[in-house]
Amino acid sequence: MSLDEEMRHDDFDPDVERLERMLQSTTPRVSPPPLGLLKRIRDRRRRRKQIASGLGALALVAGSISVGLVALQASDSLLQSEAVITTAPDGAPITEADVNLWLTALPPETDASRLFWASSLPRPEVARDFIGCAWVERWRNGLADGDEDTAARALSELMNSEEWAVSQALPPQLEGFAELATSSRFASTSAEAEKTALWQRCSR
Amino acid sequence: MTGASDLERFVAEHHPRLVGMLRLRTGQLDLAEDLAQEALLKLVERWDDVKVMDSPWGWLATVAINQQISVFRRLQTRIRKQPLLEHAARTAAEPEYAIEALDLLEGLPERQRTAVILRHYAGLSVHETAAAMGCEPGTVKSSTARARATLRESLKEDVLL
Repeated sequence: MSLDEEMRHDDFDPDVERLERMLQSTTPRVSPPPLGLLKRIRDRRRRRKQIASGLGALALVAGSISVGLVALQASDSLLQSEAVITTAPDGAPITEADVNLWLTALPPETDASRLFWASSLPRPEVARDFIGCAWVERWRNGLADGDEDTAARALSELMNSEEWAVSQALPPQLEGFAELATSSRFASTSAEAEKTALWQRCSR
Repeated sequence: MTGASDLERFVAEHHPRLVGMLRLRTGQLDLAEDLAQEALLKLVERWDDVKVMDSPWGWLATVAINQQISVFRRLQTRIRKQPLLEHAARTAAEPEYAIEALDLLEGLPERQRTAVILRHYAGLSVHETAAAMGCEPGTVKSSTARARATLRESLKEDVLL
């Protein structure tokens, strides 16, 4: 007798029938949630996911641009009046001397990504002011082989997110920069370990 | 007939059994309703695929059970089964039988209880039950057979059934 036949045989067992009747009696008297409510919850979760993705992209962009600011200060002395412009992974202030150390310690082909991970807290309000700077252009050229599809998707989600009011305030140049900042080249850098190692190597 | 009305009818038909199955597993009606809602959200998300399956109910029951197992694993502890009998008395269609049934199920080992709930309450086939439990069909059969033997002994003295 096959397994299914055996089970069919079991189903005629009066004990099984009694067991099933007994179990069915436990069915609670409950009403299903309205379909509209389920759909609203689903839509809200989708939006939340999009926003989370958008926030991730913005954090990358803002973090990247704040590093751009650091580099600008170090290499071009554009902000001579501000020696301390952001903080390190351990929370200590980053000075121009730190930046110079980083720049000399890093291989030229990876300085952008390494500097990115060595960056600290996102500072979009500062970053916006430096969107079009020459350093960003250099960075863009250096990362031309990044995975721009992934970056473009992340950016698209960010920009299409209906609750993403901040995107309205960002200048058009950000689009290209965001693609670079969210490219797989950055994502593939093991962020925390690399950041910590770099910081330890370069700390005063 | 619209897709929405199909879905609505399906949910209305299976929701009590879904909650009942999860309550038999968790021992708590509120938790069972929360887990049922999560499973229904997945159903809403994938209804177009699920509705053409051989057994949409089997899919929903499996999703719900897997989710419940995952939640319990995450909590790393079995959620305390408090006012099970009170809930049963208050909410079951036939409270007098329900109390007895829930009490009897409590006495079964975990695997046997799961097999009985999926096979004889949720109405899943042997193969669907095996898939939901992540075991071989033979294991389902032996588990349900042993559970029935235990329950049969208990029911001999039962005056209600």
